[in-house]
Amino acid sequence: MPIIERVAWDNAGPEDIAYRFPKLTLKYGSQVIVKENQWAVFFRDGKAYDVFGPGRHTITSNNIPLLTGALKALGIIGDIFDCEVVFVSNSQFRANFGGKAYSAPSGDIKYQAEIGFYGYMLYKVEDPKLFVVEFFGNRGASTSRDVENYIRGFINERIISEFGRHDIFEVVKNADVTTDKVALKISDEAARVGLKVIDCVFEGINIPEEARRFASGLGAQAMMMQYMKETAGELKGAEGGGAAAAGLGAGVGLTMPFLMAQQLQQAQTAQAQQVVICPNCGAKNPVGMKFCGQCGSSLAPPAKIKCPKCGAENPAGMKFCGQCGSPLTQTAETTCPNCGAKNPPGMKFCGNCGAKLG
Amino acid sequence: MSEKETLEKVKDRQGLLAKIQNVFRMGYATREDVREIDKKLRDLYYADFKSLRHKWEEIYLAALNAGKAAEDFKKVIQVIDRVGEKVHRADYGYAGLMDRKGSIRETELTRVLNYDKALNDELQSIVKAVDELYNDMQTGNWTDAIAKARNIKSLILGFESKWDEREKQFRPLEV
Repeated sequence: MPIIERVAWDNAGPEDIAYRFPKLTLKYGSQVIVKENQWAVFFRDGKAYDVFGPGRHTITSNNIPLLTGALKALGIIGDIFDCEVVFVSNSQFRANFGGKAYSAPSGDIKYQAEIGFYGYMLYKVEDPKLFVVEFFGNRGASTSRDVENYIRGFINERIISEFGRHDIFEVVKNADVTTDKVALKISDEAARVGLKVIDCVFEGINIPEEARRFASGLGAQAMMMQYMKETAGELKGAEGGGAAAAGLGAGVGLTMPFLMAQQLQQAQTAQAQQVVICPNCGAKNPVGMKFCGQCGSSLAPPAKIKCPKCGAENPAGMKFCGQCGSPLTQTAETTCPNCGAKNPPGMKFCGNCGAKLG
Repeated sequence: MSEKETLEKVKDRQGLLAKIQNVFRMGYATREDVREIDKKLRDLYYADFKSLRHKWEEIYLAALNAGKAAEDFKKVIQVIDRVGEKVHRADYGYAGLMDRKGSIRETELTRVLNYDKALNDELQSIVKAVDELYNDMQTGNWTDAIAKARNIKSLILGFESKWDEREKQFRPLEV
């Protein structure tokens, strides 16, 4: 194998985060050139030894003391030795992310909004040795795309779990606080593989229109009504031995929606119950009552007067017929000449004794 | 410490090979040593900034959870990042920082080193202020948190303006 005199990562692309020079044979005096935005991590037999920062490094026993010290002591190397060098970029990279999450159950109906999110994270390698050992070494990954694929998982996981903690009212009002929290929590995850999260930018959070409406108090009430209506409709449909009815009958699934539906049914029943309004004070009295529970007035239907001309029925007390305008003059009661009983006007025979009423 | 004293200190610690190199290459080894010491110093400063950032992340998250975070909390992270990278990537005594026309001698390089060393006090005051707020955070005391965060931001910005002065000091701009 030829002895390498000069090692440098010259052709790094915009997405390259690390590059491995496999099996280099270096000698004392070989040059390792590390650019200002790079590190070089030296490996031998799978072990990471030294990390070089930016600059031109001449391989001597002084600048790679761990590597040469250990190997020289064992008599493994002389002036020439084999090693691997992994160059790691120290520049900023961008990782896109996006997905859907649910907010925490909000309000009385425990509404959970489906929130869409997308954005990007700016990151860079902070600890090159940790990054190479924990991430690069096993995966053979070398571009920021590979890192992006890896970190996207835990970014999304963190975001989903974070949104799951905030109800929709909070998400709508404090989107920036929520996203800041996510960014800070991701930092710890990223640090596990030697990455530093510089910033986590949410380019957009899609909050559905209904969730926005829900977040306003009025919308929440409207949605609750709608929800109750739908639930009641479903329950009605399930009557007569449907699955839902069976479940409810057995006392299974006695949850909030069911309780609300029950309340709704009760309300509907109450509405359907007929009442009699007192003509005197206007109080509502159940059907069947004879006197008003409020003022004691009679709840008997008012007497009606038949128009002598057109025959239309008019309420008692009216002076003219509402149908033809004829005067509704009430004749006096007729007293029976035989027994003295009083008979309503217009009667021809006495209701008491049957005598002809003159 | 004057340039001369610093230079003497550097020379005292040089080995025989460096001394021979100095003789044959007109003080090359000393200049390299001063540059490297300056770089090491900046690495230490950068490590301080990294540690500050990690502490501040904890403070910020705790403040968010306690509902005490203000706009300055995020600004502090951004300012720490910016100034930290400025320190990490700063020129340290090559033509980029010095006047390109004249030859750069040991004394000029030592002046840069001394200037950087003098900024240590500024940095330590930032570290102290962040530590204080960190302790407050651990005890759940948020009474002066917003004012303290604002003060920390202004301390870092003060450090930054002095760091920016560094280049102006050593690179003559007159035509």
